[in-house]
Amino acid sequence: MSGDPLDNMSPEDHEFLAAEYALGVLDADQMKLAAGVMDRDPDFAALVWDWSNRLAPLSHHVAWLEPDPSLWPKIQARLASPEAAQPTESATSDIGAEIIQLRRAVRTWRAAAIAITAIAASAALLLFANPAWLPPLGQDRADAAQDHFVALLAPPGSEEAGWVAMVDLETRQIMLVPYGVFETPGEQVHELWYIQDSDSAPRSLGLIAGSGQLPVPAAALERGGTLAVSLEPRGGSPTGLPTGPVVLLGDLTPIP
Amino acid sequence: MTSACPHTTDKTVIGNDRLGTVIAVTIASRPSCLIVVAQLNTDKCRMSDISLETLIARTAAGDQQALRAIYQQTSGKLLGIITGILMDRAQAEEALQETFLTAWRNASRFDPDRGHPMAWLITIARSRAIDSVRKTKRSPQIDDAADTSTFQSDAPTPEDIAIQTGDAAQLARCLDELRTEQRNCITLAYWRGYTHSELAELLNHPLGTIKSWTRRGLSSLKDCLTR
Repeated sequence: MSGDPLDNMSPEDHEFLAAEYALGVLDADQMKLAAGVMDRDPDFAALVWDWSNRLAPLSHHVAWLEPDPSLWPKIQARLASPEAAQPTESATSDIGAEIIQLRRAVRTWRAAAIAITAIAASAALLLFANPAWLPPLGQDRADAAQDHFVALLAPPGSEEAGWVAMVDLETRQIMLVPYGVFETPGEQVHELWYIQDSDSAPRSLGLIAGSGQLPVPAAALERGGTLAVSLEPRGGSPTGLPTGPVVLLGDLTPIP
Repeated sequence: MTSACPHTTDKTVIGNDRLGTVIAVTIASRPSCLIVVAQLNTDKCRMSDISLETLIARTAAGDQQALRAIYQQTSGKLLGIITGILMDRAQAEEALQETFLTAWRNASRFDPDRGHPMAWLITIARSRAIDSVRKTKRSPQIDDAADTSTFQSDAPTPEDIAIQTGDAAQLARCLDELRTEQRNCITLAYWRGYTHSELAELLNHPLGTIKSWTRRGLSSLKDCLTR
């Protein structure tokens, strides 16, 4: 295509095009043109989003139509197909996506901080009211199947924990909580690994983008083992095994 | 959570409630150093208690259950919107499938600072429906979409609150302020997905007139909403 179709338009016409696109009144050709502009022009995309938000309450009184019960299983079946592949960490690492991830991380941790304060307050109250309620520390609780583990990740040879990883095998999520500032040097990324025992090779659990939750591939984790974090080139280890230095290491310990 | 502590061994739950669990982590060698770790119960809450925004974030992380919860909360509304445009139940259900596959793929691009999560889902649904309807030749028909009397600011049901998109009462008031022909262009385009040409045929006016009615209507709507 020669030149940007918006080049010859006044700012007022940009806004009208965005509004008409959001309204859905454009014909197939104009719609294609506007969609193309939206993909490469963030200012135009922002105008379209503003208009979509402005008009969305028009849907307020559209009647609810219950979909056929067979529809969700069809969608679910298609989620595993290549057409439904979600972008990988490296594919989403453009500036826009990184900013969204950062904003989301801030929101998550703000919510977590509020909840932690609430729990800590209720715990403190319990302790104050009935100190005998507190079970002795270090009590053996290794019975029953364990689904929750914690690992304190520290640099090899050091005792200073850098991260806490909380693993929930029920929901297959790892929650990573940093203790302090955790910087990634230059172009490198942090990759999380699982080592079941000294005889097995490390298995990648994914790249760590900021703090937050990381889904764990099904069947990747056993009850016990070690988590490690290595520095890898952008996009993750090219070999499937750690190639850079291991910067953090910690054993998984069941929590009651 | 306290600051950095040496490597530790013993963990004990010191409290838990609906929100989560507090775990004390102590170090055998240095009992005075205690780390308190709070573990949130987000997975034990009912999915319906979790906001759409959180569910979209979890969908972006590959959580199919989160997408399913979004489906349960919104699919009937989205199917209503899509059916209004496609006027064909089978095609509408196909477009609804595409809507949720797009939401699954693009969840990481959802930016809560850009608008309400329901507005994001509606935008995807309408766009899938309009893509589909543009591929077929249809004869526009006047129907109750031009009648905004049903679009009033009555009290929202709990269901509406869960999937609200913004101030419907304010938009209804601003639509009421428009000239009838401008309002018709906007509501017929939004609810039925009609193009300028289809509106020209339907309302029996030249294309240029329809375009200027639509633009003037949109412009007045924005002025009213930002007032």
